[in-house]
Amino acid sequence: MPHFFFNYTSGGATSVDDVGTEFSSLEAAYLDTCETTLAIAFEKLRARQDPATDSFDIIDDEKNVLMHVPFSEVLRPAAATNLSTINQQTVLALENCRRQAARSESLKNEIRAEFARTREMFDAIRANLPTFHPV
Amino acid sequence: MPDVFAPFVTKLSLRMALPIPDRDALLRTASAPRHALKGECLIEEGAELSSLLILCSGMARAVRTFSDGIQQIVALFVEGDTLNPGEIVFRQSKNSIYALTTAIYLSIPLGQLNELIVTRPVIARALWLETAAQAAIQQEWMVWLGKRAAEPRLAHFLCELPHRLQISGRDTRAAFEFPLTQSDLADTLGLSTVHVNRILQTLRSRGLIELARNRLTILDKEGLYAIAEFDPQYLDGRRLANQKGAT
Repeated sequence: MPHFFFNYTSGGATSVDDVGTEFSSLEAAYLDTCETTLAIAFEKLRARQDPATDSFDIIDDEKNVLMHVPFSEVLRPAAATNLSTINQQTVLALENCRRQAARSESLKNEIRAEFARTREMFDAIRANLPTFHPV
Repeated sequence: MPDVFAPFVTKLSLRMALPIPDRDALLRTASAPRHALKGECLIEEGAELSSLLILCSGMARAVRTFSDGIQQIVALFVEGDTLNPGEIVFRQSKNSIYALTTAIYLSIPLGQLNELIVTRPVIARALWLETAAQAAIQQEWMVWLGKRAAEPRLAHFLCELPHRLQISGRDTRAAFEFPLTQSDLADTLGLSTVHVNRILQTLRSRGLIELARNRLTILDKEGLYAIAEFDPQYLDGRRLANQKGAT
């Protein structure tokens, strides 16, 4: 399963996640992050703190930021419908890229195997040809 | 007495003075040790129960799975625990129990257990204490699941587990095996996985714990106990209560 990291920014300070955790897909990681956002927001509101400017960044194994998830987007879905839609589209596009990359890799391996078979066949044919002696 | 019985006997001995003839009579009824792989199902949800299972080594978890696939871990078992002391009375398992690590367990057929309970009251008392001990843990879980914020909830769990392992005779002063993933912790604590990840980071950054490669070290026991408001009396108390009861 893919490994993701979740950097959390609050009050301008970012807490870097150097352990991470596994999810079946980026979409699963995003949905869990939204759930976490709600839970942390409730805890902060109970403590009379404003969670609206907090955010999570979802990061892959190669330290690429895959998604930026601001709390405001999750807490005010109506106001952030467009952003949410864009995020969903990003998730779908990334999933699609991942699938296409996996398919390309698989095709590449098939072609490589086919080349190897062809090369073996040529070698066999070459070995069976009578040696040519020019007169 | 084979070594495999040691954690169970250690726990029984901590709780009460179990005379050797009674202890041997109990252990004679047990099956040969069975080995389970990590993730193997030991008891299926809804299964009819015909034996009491005792976990001799490793860890296991009891899981309730809902129709939408969501899971809640309702109990965690460490070596020396009985896996179904309450459910065996009702003859049916309400949860599935899976090995969290490779595990060794024994079973005592219900018929023979019933005979022992009738002929050896001290064994009946031992099982009563075991059931009460597990009920006390369940009650504590209910309290922190219902009323505690995420951080003290997780901190409490991290305090409780090594204490329970100590009762089974395990030294947890240094790093010890911690086979639960962040997802398992989330399913246990009613939190999301990213939230568990966040709290673990916080506890680590404060120098309270170290969790790496499935091994947990409690670096600052007092600090962690303070966050969790952890009072192990509900784990130790049954020993004290028993000593008072015996006088």
